[in-house]
Amino acid sequence: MKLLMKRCGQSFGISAICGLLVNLLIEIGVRFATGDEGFVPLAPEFVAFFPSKTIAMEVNILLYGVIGAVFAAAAYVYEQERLGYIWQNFIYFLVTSVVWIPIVILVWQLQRYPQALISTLAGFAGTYVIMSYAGYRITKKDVDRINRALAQEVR
Amino acid sequence: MRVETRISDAYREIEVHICNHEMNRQVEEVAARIFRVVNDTITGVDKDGVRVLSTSEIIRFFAENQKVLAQDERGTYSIHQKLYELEELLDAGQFLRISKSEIVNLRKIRRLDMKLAGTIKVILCDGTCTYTSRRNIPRLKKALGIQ
Repeated sequence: MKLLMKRCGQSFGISAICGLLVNLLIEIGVRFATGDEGFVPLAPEFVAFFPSKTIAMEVNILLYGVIGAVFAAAAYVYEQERLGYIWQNFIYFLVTSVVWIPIVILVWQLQRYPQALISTLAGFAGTYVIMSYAGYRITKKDVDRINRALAQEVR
Repeated sequence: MRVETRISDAYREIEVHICNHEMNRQVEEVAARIFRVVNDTITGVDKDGVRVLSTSEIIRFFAENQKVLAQDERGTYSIHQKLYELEELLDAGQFLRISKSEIVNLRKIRRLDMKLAGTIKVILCDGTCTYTSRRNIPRLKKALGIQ
């Protein structure tokens, strides 16, 4: 439990810092390119929820941190050996989706752009299925190689 | 070479001292041999009392009900070391941590069996079945010398 909390804390920090850096880079890039000094890399509808752009930005960074922490916590499922790779992936997918999808909808206001919402979800699910399938095939191959090596050792 | 045994209440546990006028190859060899002998055994407890177990004969170490147990072909013994301590103590070329709760003797693995759901069963020489996860497979490959 202690280790899990540590992992979550570290991931929260790393994700928040990465989110901050990405936001900063976008902000600098857009301000430089367009000369718009008031630009912030957030959906105007999201900014409207808060009294100032700075608070909106802080909440946004906090939410990046939350996503990172949840991904780290959900990775705990991969240590449950008896579950099996398919179930591990399925649970990881579910737990992470329950958190990051509402956050992304809130931050990017995706509910206003159905096509963007569908393509984001489809992209994530598709990538996940492909990665899981590839991982399964690689592991199966590795298990076969290990069995061959073990059989050779016995001989 | 003179070998002397001293039994006295002054000693709390077994001590081995190697004495010579200089550090040479023979001293190093004797020290290395004693180190191997000392570290090749581990003390376990079963219903009949304390037993000295040869680590090379141990099939696996595992945690169960807050206890760490060692299993060989004759039975299961309770041991006082924690799994992380055993990881440091044991020969890394012979023993591998395959899950949070288990260290197995690589020479005692019969085969792996991957089920359709992706569960990876580790079948040991005495027929005991245990499980490992996908993230431990690269370490297992490395330990078996597979590129």
